Amino acid sequence: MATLGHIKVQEFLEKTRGAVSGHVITDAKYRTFSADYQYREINDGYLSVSRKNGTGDEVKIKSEIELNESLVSFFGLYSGDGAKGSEDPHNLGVIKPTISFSQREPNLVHFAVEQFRKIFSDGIRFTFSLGEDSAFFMAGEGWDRLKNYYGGDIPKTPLLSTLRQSLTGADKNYLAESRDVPGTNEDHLAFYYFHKDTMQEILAYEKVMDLKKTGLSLDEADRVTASLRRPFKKGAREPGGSSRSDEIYIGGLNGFGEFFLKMLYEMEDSIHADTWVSPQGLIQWMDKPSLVGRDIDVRAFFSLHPYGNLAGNRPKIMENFGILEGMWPRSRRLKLKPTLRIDPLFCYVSGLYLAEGSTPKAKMFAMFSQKVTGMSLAFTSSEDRSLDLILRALQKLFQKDDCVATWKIKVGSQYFPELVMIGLKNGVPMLRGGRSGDGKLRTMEISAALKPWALDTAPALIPFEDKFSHVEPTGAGLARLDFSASPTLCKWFFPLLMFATFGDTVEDPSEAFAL
Amino acid sequence: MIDYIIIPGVDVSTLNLVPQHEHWLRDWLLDIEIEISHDSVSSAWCLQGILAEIALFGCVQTDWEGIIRELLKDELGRPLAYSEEYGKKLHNFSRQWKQTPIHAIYTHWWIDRYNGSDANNINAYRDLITRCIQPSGWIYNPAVSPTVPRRRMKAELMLSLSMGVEILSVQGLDQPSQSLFEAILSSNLTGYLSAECFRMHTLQMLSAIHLAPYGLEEIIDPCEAEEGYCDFSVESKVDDYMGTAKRTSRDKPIHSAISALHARQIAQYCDLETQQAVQSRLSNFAGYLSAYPLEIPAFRMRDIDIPFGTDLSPFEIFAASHIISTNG
Repeated sequence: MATLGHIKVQEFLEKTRGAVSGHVITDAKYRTFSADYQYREINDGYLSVSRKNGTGDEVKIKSEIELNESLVSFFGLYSGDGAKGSEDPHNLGVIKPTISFSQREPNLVHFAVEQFRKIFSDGIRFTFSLGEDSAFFMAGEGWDRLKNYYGGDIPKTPLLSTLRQSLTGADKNYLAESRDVPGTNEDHLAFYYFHKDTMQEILAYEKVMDLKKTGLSLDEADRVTASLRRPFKKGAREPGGSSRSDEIYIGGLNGFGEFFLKMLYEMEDSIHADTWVSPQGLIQWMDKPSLVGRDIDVRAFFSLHPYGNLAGNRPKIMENFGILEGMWPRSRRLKLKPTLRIDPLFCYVSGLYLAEGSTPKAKMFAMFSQKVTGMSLAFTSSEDRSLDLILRALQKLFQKDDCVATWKIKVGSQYFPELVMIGLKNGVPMLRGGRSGDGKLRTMEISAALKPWALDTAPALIPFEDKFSHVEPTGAGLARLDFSASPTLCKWFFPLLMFATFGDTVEDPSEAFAL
Repeated sequence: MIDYIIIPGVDVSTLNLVPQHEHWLRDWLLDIEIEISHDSVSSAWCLQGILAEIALFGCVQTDWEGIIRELLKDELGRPLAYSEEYGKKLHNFSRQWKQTPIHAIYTHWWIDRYNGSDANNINAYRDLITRCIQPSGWIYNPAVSPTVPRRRMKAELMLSLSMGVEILSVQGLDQPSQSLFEAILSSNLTGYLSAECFRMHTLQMLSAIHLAPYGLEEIIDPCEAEEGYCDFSVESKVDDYMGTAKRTSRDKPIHSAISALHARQIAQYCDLETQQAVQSRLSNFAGYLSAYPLEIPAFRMRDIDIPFGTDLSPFEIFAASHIISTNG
């Protein structure tokens, strides 16, 4: 296992006299965070860190944390799936960070728990929380599970008036809302209250079983909980529809969120700028990040290494005049760099892609043990930093022109009125594509008008300017940039990405990930 | 009077352009001239080019008819929104450049009419529109955009309907069509100035102003933005499906001269108090635009200070100069 660098906790706290501050741009919002910490040395190189104002927990942490491939990858994963904090409603622009993590894929949950334990030792506890729209249990798979639970016959839901003598404010708001779904709000609310405990029990059991399958051992203090939302309240738009969210809350770290975010952003900054030390010295690499890490012989990796074996298949690799060319069975020939350094950039991006990449997570774990079809390589972000890191990592392995096949701008429904107005300024109405309207925007003027915004927002896409395809009105939320590469790249990039993340802990992925 | 549906009440043939607007339009014409020299052109550019030349020089200076004939007709002579080269602005847009949406039909019809085209040509447009009338009453070309009406943009539905009805009305509407359009226009208020402006334009053509939605005046105030009006109220943004409010605290409404004209147009159908309030705001807006003629910004994505889409366009310029000269 290669040591890439260190998180210099004690040195940083001494230098800054405990002051931690920083700023982030997330969801196109500028936000800041700050906190003052104090520490005392305990034993065996550990510190006890707490906030100077006496709030929060005393956190046990090493004075210097070694950074290896998996831990750097974990920070990339947290960058994508971790909580950055919520805005203080009384102090707009300031975030109150909490440490929690959204992820459903059990292997990634297992991995994240191990890394949290590595950083924070034994003073923390985990709450695994599963949220779901109760409409999931109204039809299909959810309905079947409910039926199994009741032994075949689901009892008839009583009237809402008999279930609830008085309604809460949230209930009243729910009843007042209108939704284009079968049934009445009263019936839906009655279903929710009548089956709530049962539905929670079913989901919590499922979560426990998922975690057990990965071999994750839970401590006595760890908890698994499930919560149900009122039907169709968020996400599910038809009976049986799912809007599942899986969170890991880490206990024992109250008040430490600002420090944790500082670690994350210092690491990201130094990798992005390729400097051996981060802006405030919290992260110190062994050398410039691009110069540290082990070199992988790409040909040997895919010829011999367990991670280069996908369900019993290995690619053909040829060398023509110093250029490596590889071809997986039933795939096309692709030019490859002969050596790949598993440096902090590649490790961080591995975690980031696992969190935010468009490839279904399950496929990335299953590909080692079974034939997987329909793999794709795509990434969506509203921030230049993330896109730049991913594109740089891809270019470590592939030719530049192979890294981006096409890119587009996805705009959530919140900003459709703006798109309409942009169209009218150009003398045209906004015409959507596809029956549901989620397809390629048919009005070229609007796509062309937004291209300069995209290139200003994400200069990382400037080298791929001519690959801009369209605006896609889809989902909710702010405008973001989405690029995709040819599926041919998947079988080369993903094994190396998985190796960078799990190579330290999982020797043979075909066995370990075959749940 | 030479006017266009998107900028109601503006006669470009008598428009007094302020010097900054004149310069801006001349630059814009030069830019598209370069594009057109590479065969890259859209119907909307041709229309704006004609209006710009009339506003600047009093008459058309370019062979727009030739450009349209050569680059913006398909093999059957149907109007196209884009030329093949224009379609190459987007990667992998492939054959989608070859499309005949309602606005392209209308633009070609408008230009032909301006050029005094013969009756046969006008009939061809009428036939194209007739084939695009949907059972619901909305007018759109599903071969271009098959999206169900519920998911279509309200401004698009109203504008395409208005364009279609204007073409059909030249030779008079039959009673079933009149009833169909009246029925679809009797729908709820949309909350968008543009959509309501186009609705009222259509109702006017149908002599059915009495079918205007109740509470029309209530949509104008919430759309006040900066010095003028925005097409929509940021605070009122809701999820169309879930009916829940959007988180808009960081979203900024911007004023638009086009939207100000839409507000003025809607106000004509409202009470005197609303008309006076809109007129007063337009007077103030005119003062602002006189001082800062090019200050019509683009949207921004929350805190990121990068223009999100178009700021100035020929239509904004026409609208701004008109507001300055008629309200200053």
